Amino acid sequence: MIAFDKDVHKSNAFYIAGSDFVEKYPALVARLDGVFASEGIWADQHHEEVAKAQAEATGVDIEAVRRFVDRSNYRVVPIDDEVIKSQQAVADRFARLGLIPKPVNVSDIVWKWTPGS
Amino acid sequence: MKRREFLKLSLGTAAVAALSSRARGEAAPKEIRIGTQKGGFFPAVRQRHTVEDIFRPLGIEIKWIDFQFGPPLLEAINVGSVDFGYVGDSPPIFAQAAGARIRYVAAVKSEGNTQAISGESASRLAKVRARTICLSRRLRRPDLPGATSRPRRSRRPMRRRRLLKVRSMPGRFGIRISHWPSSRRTPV
Repeated sequence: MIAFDKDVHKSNAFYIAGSDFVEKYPALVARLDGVFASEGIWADQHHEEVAKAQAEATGVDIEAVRRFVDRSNYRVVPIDDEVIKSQQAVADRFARLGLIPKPVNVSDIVWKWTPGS
Repeated sequence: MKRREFLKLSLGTAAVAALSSRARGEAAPKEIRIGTQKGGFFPAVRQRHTVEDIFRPLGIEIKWIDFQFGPPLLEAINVGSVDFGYVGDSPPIFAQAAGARIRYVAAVKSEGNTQAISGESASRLAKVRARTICLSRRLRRPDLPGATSRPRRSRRPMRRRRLLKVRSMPGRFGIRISHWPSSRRTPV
């Protein structure tokens, strides 16, 4: 019943921006992606600092947070075909289950980030 | 959308202004509003001040706004009160289905070491019976079927409800659902 998500479905996470913001300020979006990407690389190498700050902010016991942080990944990457495929599978399942009224096409609202841009 | 385009075109000088600012691309905003959820690496990032340091030279302030969960964060992005934010995989799907004006701009790929609840084997339920898992109250996670406790409907306004003390309650299958962050127990 409780399993690691690699055995069931990999649950990705996303940085999202407003459509108008992306259209008006694509260079700022790229810069935001860039700074969170570099912070993500730092975080992957500094679990203890990440855990401490998180425990302070949430009031959750540091031991639990450490375990959670050690299982986490903070690396920020552009949205590639693999991510779209996985996210589309979730969307299709939600549509099939009637959780959303009509199917959606995930790639319609993907903005392609080129790191270093 | 079409109507919006039409209005833009029919507004003459406004249309010219809109088009030229689009052509220039970057008339920078005064601030960027970033929506986060409690936890993750954001508390550490905020302490480090790196995002502020990157944007301050451009004359842009960073405003951080904490949300309880992804769906209200995305709604804030949709209505234009937040510019950029971080959410899990299900909220953007509901938001897109509802016609939200959002874009996926980057991903954090799962390495497969975080949680999942699978309904594949009822016998394995026994393993988690009577253990505690932490979950945000009112969080919509159809992918966590055993853990999705339906909140009691309340006529109180949102703000009042948020202040109510949350209790742990028995979920389906006898799993105790405890609500983050009021629970101090260790997540399984």
